[in-house]
Amino acid sequence: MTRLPAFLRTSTFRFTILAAALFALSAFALLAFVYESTAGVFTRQTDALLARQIADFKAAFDRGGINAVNKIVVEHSTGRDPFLYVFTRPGGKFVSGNLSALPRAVPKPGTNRRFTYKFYNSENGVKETHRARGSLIRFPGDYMLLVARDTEEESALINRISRAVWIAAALVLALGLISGALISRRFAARLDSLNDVARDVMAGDLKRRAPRNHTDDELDELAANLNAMLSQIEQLMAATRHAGDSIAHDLRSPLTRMRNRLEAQLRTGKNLNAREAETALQRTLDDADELLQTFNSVLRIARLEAGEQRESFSRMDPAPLLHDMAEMFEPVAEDTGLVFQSEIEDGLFIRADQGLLAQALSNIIDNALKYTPAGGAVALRLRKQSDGRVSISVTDTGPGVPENKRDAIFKRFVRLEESRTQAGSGLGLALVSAVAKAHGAELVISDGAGDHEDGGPGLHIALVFPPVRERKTKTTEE
Amino acid sequence: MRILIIEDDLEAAHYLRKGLSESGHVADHASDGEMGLEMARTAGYDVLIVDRMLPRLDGLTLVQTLRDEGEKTPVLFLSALGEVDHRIEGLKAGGDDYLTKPYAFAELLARVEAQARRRDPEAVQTHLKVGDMEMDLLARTVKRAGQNILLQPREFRLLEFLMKHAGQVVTRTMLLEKVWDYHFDPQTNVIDVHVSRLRSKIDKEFDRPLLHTVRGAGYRLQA
Repeated sequence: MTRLPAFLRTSTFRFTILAAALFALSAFALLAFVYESTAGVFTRQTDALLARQIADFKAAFDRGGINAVNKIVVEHSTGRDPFLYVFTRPGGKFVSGNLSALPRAVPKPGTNRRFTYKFYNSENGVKETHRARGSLIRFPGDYMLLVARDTEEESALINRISRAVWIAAALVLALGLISGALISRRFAARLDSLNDVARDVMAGDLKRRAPRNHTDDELDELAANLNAMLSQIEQLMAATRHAGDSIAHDLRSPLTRMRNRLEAQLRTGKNLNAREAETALQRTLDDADELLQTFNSVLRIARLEAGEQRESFSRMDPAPLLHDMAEMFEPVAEDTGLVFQSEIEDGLFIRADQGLLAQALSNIIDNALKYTPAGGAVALRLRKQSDGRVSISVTDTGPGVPENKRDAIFKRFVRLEESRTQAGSGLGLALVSAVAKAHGAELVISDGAGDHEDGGPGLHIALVFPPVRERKTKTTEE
Repeated sequence: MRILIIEDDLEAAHYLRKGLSESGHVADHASDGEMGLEMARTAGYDVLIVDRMLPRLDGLTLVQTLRDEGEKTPVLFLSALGEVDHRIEGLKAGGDDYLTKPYAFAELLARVEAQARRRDPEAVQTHLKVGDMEMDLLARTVKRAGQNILLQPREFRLLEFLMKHAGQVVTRTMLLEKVWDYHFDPQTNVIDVHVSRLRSKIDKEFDRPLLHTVRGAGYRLQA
């Protein structure tokens, strides 16, 4: 089966054709109306005048017979009369009139007919053929009278009009076809470019983007949306791949450690006493636990980044959660020689998942407690910013993070201290970042209080949530 | 204690049965949902351990069916589905606890034993006693050997939980869930710090310690 060229298959082309056809039809109807109201009216006028003449002649015959008729014909035939007369006696011999003989095509008596006649135009000396309309009256005794009106001028006008009608309709149709083809070719070309992008992406090239002409028309918008969708897909795929790589990367070292330990034990198994064997097993178990924890964290981050779990978000006042966090971590801070402060404003609302928020805050606080040297302070704050957003922040007086490394600490498995003196999987802040993203919260990182004598600017990490409109029905207060 | 394990992974079920019987419990095993439902109906079990994804009848439906029939045996869900939503689903279906695979056996054992204790439906307790320590839940006071012990509200709740589960191992996660009402991974020794504060208040000035650390598992309050 052969297919039509692409532009002929487009819906745009079909619409243009349809529009052109409708336009041609309406132009045709309009011109038909014009025709009717010119040619039609003229014919009716002619017929009315002819009827009056015929009635006059019949009345004259009734009054004075053939001679009276002849007299009127003679009177009318002199001078410039728009009517044509030919009066003949039996046998068709010419009696009077302004034409020399009956025309070849003579209308039948009683009905008006259109016919042509020839005559010698004395003004320009040319023999002309004119159109006329008239009818034949038959008088008793086989006398015949042709009464007609010359319609040449009007007929010519009407002809011009009807020719115009046809030409106009044809032009409209042709123009419609051409413009339809042109428009839909353009449209088809742009659609083809979108289809090409889709095909390339399906074939695996996720970097392909649809070209845009920035006119903001529907196709441009489609291209923009398509591009946005592709970017999102690409990002998700990258995140998935990254998660896979990360899992592989961070599970490999504890797995290797575990394997080495088991192997060593197997080699020296007979020489181990019960206590040593138990210690070895306990270590192996610890390794397995660490593996599981890492695995769970990575999975959780991946899920968050994939945008799952959003349905569990609800409007909440974070103050009770922050009070709990403060209460939970304060003794931990005290045990490590730190001061834990909290400034928590009540009655602020954000949209969040309580569990995720608790996890994120716990990770930030945990991080602050780990890296702040004894004698320092960690502060937990909840407040409304001047721009209306709600900020939950943790500030410490620790060594801080140099500006060029701030982005890095929220990546997976990054720990600034190369010597692994502090426990932790290196996933804590990556999870914070993922939680922030899932909540549409901005993650702000800057220098902390910075006036602690041990030096170091300290670190300030804030989750800044977009404001949530307060419901008027209920205000919660403690 | 009689425990029914409804689990289609035979190796996992075997491991569970072995562990539970070593801890002095009797465990039966059903390998699919329908069989599990039948066995659970014959009653006599103290706790049901139910995997969520089972052949023939899934765990959620199984528990829902039992609950609709008025069966109140405590249920501990075991599942590889560990998101918050999954937990909520499990608890809504009538589960009493939810543990995500993979789990530490100590954690499972502690939770199973904690569930068994719950069987006597909350006869309202106003007074708890472990050894020479007494807790008055109405007056919110704690005495040991007749000596008043002042506790912060959270310490009080912590001790209350430990006393209600006296003799049993309670894990750190259980404490975070039941005492703090949170379900996340605190990554640090938060719970240990709180327990050690409580310990210094209830045990420090007395000869016999009541609060014991169980290595690799959690804590146990025992006279």
